[in-house]
Amino acid sequence: MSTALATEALARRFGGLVAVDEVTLRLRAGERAALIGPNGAGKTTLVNLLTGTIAPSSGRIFLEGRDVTALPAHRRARAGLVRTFQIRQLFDPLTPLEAVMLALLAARGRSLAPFRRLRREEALLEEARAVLRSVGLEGLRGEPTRTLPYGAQRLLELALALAGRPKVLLLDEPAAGVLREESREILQTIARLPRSVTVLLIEHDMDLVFRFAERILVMVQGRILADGSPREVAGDPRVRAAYLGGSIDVGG
Amino acid sequence: MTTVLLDGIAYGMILFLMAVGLSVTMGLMNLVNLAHGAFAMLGGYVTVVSIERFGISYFLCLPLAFLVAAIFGLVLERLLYRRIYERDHLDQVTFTIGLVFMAIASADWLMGAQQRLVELPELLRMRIPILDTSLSLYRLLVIGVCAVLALALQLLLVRTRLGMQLRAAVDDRRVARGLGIPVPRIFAAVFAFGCGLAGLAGALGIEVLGLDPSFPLRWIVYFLLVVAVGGTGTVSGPFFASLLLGIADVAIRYWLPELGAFAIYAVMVVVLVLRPHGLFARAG
Amino acid sequence: MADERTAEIAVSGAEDRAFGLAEPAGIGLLWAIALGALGTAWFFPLHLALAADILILALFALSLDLVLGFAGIVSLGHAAFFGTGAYVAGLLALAGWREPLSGLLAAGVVAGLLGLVASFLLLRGRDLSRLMVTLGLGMMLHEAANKAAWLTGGADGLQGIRIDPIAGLFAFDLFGRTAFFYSLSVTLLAVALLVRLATSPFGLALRAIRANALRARLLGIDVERHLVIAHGLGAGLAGIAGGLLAQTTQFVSLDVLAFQRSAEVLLVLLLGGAGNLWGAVVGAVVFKLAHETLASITVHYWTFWLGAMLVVLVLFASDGMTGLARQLAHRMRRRAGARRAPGS
Repeated sequence: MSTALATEALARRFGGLVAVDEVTLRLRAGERAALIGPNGAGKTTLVNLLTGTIAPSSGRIFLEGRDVTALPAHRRARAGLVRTFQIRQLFDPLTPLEAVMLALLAARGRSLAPFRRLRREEALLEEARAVLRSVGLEGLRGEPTRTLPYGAQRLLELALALAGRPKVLLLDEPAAGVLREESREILQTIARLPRSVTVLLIEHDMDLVFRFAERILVMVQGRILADGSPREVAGDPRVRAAYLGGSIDVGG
Repeated sequence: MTTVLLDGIAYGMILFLMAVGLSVTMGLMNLVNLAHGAFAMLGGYVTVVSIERFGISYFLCLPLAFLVAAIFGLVLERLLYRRIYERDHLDQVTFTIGLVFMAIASADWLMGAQQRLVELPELLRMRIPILDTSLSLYRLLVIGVCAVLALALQLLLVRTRLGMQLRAAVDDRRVARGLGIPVPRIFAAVFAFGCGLAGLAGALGIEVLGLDPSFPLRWIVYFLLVVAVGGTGTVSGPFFASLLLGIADVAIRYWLPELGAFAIYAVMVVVLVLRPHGLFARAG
Repeated sequence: MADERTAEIAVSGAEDRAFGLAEPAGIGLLWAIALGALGTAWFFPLHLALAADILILALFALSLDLVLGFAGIVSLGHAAFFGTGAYVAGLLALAGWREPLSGLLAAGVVAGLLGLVASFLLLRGRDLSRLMVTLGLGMMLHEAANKAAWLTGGADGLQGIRIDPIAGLFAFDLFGRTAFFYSLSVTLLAVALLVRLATSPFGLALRAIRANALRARLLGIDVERHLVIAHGLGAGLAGIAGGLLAQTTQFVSLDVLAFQRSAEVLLVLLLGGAGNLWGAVVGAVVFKLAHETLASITVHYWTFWLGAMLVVLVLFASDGMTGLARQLAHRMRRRAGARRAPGS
């Protein structure tokens, strides 16, 4: 099976603190993996390194075999490495339709057209509506994002990622802070994703992780401590120590 | 050569006194107060009026200028400034430019558009020889007062309880409040004190900086440059930045007059472009 | 959900609002400017110079709206580009190139190129350092023009500018009739262009960048390139506004580059409301009329009230007049909706 996303001794230091410590990992195409770990384990830094928001201190990143370590963030996104955010990272004044249109245009590198009219992009508009329909947001597509209920904003977060034509999707706690029913809706949407998309779920909710993931990576103190099937990971004494011992909580 | 150096030091010292309040409020309250120069102008006019109308001694005018500017600052802080602490920088800039315009118009209306000068006391016009040149007692006074104040400020910030509370409030406002530190009152006090220092600088610096209604506007770039080079939230940063700026500006005016203020603006742009994050890390 | 058809109607109603600045609003602005200007020409034929002034200020404010309102780049030195345009148009005419349209185009191109170059200095910083860099650049250019008296005439400015008739037909007259219609045509053209831009993928991307640059970048948008182009276009438009001023008043003075002009245009935009094109135009009209009224009393009054307006604006209406109007309309629509709801 081909590799969708890989890192090679990827590291990031902040001053004296090592947030991500020579992480080497490999996600196979179409895989459903989850990344777990205690607070401050370096998960967020790892995601930021992968998407290009921050630069690594050393190491390399490959997307479908291509070295993307030096590629700026927007080019990685266009190449299909797409993430969602745990905290609200939406466009407040835009409507869902506008935001999804933007994601579609951006993924195609077509946002830099000052004199084309948005309304004439009928094919894209149709696609944007379809994306919104797939997450159940079609009825709210004309409302400014800031007025949407919280659950709808989480769904929009997902819709933006889906519209970005992802090959690898990094989902950062997609159901954080939502009600149980809405969280089921979000999970269903994720479960419906085609197998052409590789998914890495970063999550605290173990319930969600064990229901979704075929493979679990455990990150502690900037390193991948364990990597295997849910059963293997659940039985790993080191993981139990890291989680149940409660002693491991590194700041950063 | 020595003349340029001594003039530059005296001039830099006054710049420091004018800008240190701005630097501290920028670091402490994350407030961009472009109207800071108006308080220096106020100090200048207080001095002019006190001497011309009431015949008060120049030496007494200096603390008076400090007091009037500080009180004015306190009142404005309570009435206006505290409402914009939480606003974004564009709002703060717009707001304080508004205050600058109001200050200019008021000064123009009350004091007239012409340059105002004060007659320095006989004593200060005496000159003492230094190396190949001579230094007036006035410049010596300026350098002395500013150096003492800079040292006192540094000690105040590092050694005292108030300084400690202040630094705590800079680091984390919410935590400081949780520790029972009266953050709003400290803000008001610091703001007023900074305005007072600017007022004193305005009084002390009439001879060097000149005094007319366009004063607050003319010196904005110098304030900002001091903050940009020296960083915010410390005393030593603006101090050395002011000295550097003072000496460089005098040197340019002396040797390359055709460049005018152009060089200073260019330096500001270059510094800001090269170190935008480092320089304003504190100010956000 | 209960009634499929009402849901359908609600959605198509929402469709118009689905694009923030809908095209009808933009076309409405074109009509408002045209009718307002022509009405002024008809009823106040003696105030054409003032009307042309307002149009030029509106154009200048519109150029800032593109930079600040759409791209979110705060600027305290936008007069740099206005002034550059004015000097380019003025110097060309003095050098013997008196054809107005090509002169205006040259003003826009030179200012636009300057804006492109300057924008690279603005990319890295945040609001505060952008404010200071633009302030510094503006002051630099002002000082440079002041010192380069051999080129700019220094404090005396450029005098004796003569401009050929437009298209060889309409000579600039004493009553400012040609100047007025010329300014009106250029402004309308610029507004049409901006409306087109605001409703384009580029306009959408700019609004997204302003709202959340990080997210825009992670969707695949080249944020820097968008900002550079927006700033360049805004600078070019400002240059055209400046060129227009030089050609219609046939005089360029140093204060086209002054800090006051940068602060003034910022006020105009904030007064009207940024990011919706209407605000720039409304702001220009209100500002100029206020200026005419207050400055006729005394000059001090004007500076004072200018400052007071800025202060009050920030304290009570940071979205400007169009922001207030929209809030009002929103409230009224909600009230009307509440009244209709029980019947449907």
